[in-house]
Amino acid sequence: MNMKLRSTASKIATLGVATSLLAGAVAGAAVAQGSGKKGDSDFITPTATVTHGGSSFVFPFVSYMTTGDGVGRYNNPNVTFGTDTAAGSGDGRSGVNSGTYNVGYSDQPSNVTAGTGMSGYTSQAQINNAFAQLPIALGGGVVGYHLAGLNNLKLSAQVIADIYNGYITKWNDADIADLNKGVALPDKAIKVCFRSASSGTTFAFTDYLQRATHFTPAASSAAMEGSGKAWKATTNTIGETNNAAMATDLANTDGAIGYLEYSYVLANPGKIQTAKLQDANGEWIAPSLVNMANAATAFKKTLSVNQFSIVYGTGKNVWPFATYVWGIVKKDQSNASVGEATVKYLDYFTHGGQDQAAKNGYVALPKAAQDYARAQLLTVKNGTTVLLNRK
Amino acid sequence: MVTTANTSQVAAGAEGRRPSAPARGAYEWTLLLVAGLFGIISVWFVGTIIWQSASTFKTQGLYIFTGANWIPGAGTGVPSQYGGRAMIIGTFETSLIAMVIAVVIGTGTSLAINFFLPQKLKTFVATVVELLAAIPSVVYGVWGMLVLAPWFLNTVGPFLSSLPGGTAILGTTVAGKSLLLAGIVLAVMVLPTYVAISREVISSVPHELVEASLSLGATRWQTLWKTVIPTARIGLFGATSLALGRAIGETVAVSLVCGGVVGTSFKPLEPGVSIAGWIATQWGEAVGSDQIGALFALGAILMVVSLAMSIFSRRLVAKQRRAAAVV
Repeated sequence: MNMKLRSTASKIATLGVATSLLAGAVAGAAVAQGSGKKGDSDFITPTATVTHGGSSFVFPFVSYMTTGDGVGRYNNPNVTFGTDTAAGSGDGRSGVNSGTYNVGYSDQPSNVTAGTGMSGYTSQAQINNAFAQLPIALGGGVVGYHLAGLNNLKLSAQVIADIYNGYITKWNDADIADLNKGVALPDKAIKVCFRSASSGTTFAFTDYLQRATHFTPAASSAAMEGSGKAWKATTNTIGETNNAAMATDLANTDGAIGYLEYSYVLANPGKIQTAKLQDANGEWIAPSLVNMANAATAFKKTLSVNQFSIVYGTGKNVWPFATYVWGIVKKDQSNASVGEATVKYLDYFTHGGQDQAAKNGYVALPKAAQDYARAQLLTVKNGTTVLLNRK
Repeated sequence: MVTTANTSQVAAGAEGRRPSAPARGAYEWTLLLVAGLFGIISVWFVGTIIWQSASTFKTQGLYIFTGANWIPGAGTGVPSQYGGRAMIIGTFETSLIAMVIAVVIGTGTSLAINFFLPQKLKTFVATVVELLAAIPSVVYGVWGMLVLAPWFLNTVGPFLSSLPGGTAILGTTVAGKSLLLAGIVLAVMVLPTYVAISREVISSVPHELVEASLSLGATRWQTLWKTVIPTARIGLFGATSLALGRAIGETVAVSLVCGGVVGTSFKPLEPGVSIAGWIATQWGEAVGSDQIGALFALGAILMVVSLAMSIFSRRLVAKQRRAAAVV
């Protein structure tokens, strides 16, 4: 033993310089990978606890970024995150408004005309004054169903709307058979799964259906009713609380149909079938991260809280049911430490953190959305001090 | 509210009996302050609910009790429709199912613990039951959602529907989650509470009565049915109303397994909603719109129902006490 120890010691002594160099390199690599900000000094914040929650659409990504020890997560030792209960986008908006969340996640920004205003604010200008709203993730919704062995059924927006409105109740309905010639459709009842609690996924889903069926919400003969809580289908329906519950039901229930974020399908391999949808050119396309990324590229307008819908964009292979998820923070941060941690977390999430999007089932934000996000974060202040130290 | 009234009555009574009481010390002032604070909080709480729900009762009228649709009008230009029928019936239905199951199984369990189990096992079972009562309801809900719902979907539901008249009376299961499942999860949830109390109640039935009954030639079954249960009925009723109180206001467990559909058929195998579960899942989107008033209105209805049941059960217990005293 002694001999061994001595010889080891002498080796270390001999290679002293080399060893310390090596150790330094290893430590440096660890910091670069662990910090997620690749050694950026901006990364360090005062000790703070950041509370957050809302959209279940983005929950898998948020969960990856804020918990566990995955590569590239936001790994700031000074910041502790509250629990995100993924209670839905409405919860994200009202939570940040009431102050229970430092960051609220919502699939739509708070927008008065879209019906997603904030309690106590009567105009969009007031909301824009009080809240910074920034895109943090880009994801695709899919129409999922459970018919073992029948993946990639073609379902048009009109057929989907008819299912949700109770006009089509069987999987072998003539309208579905017309779109899927040669496919042996089962004589099974369609079990319609929808979201009964506040849901940004539902908002994007109805948005897609309305645009794709060229339906104007103001018309009296509504193709789609309500914000998803009052679909016309009344029998064989089931109301779900969030994306995870929707995924569980689709994975278990033969004949069920539903809509959910793509990553939940990837997390249940083989258990949930997904429908091919028609892009704006009428071509049938299957869901993929590439097609979903095309939805952002096809969006030629300037992204803002007033122009945020990217569903049913024009172009080849543009996934018609995609949406940005928004992070919402108060512009006036009364606690400097928490405010600084919040904006630095979101800045990392919307920049370096986007490298982790694909493995979680999302699409990395395009440059324009990243720039918009940073511009919004630069408006978050404690008193008159801008909390994000970036340009 | 009832408690507040009692407290003030007691205070007034005490005052009345001590007209020449000495000046109050710090101790008494502190007590009064604490009691007063409780009074203020209660009034504030109840007042807020009534205040917030007033506009809904005004615009919806009776529709909040009888209406079948829950359609927020925000952003669509169509007037909001807030009908609470599905939630109110769902609450009663799930609670009723839960109570029937809990009372039958619970009373049987308590009788078995008291009369059939050996002493050593008795203590052990009683302890386990009381420990079960401390499990948070969300655990029951998740168990119901992930374990019972698939079983209901694939086995129990199809079996019940296949019984004669099953589909007509019980309906057909959609995804396992249903009012019946919610009732069963509630029953499992309130069973420990019910058993813990009813076991105590039954064990306090005088042994002489049981022995007298047996010595007169009654069978064990007759003794339990004709002597033990009638003697213990006041306490059993108290246990039932406590369990019902827990069931009727249960939120998380029910919202996870009831299926979340504002339905119209109310067949037990089909999905539905309950008042508390509906409030919990809807408030996020409701803040800032007229829907929040409608949810407060549902809250007010639930409050009144619970209050009415509490008063009713107190009356009944008091009445039975008097009857028992006369006998």
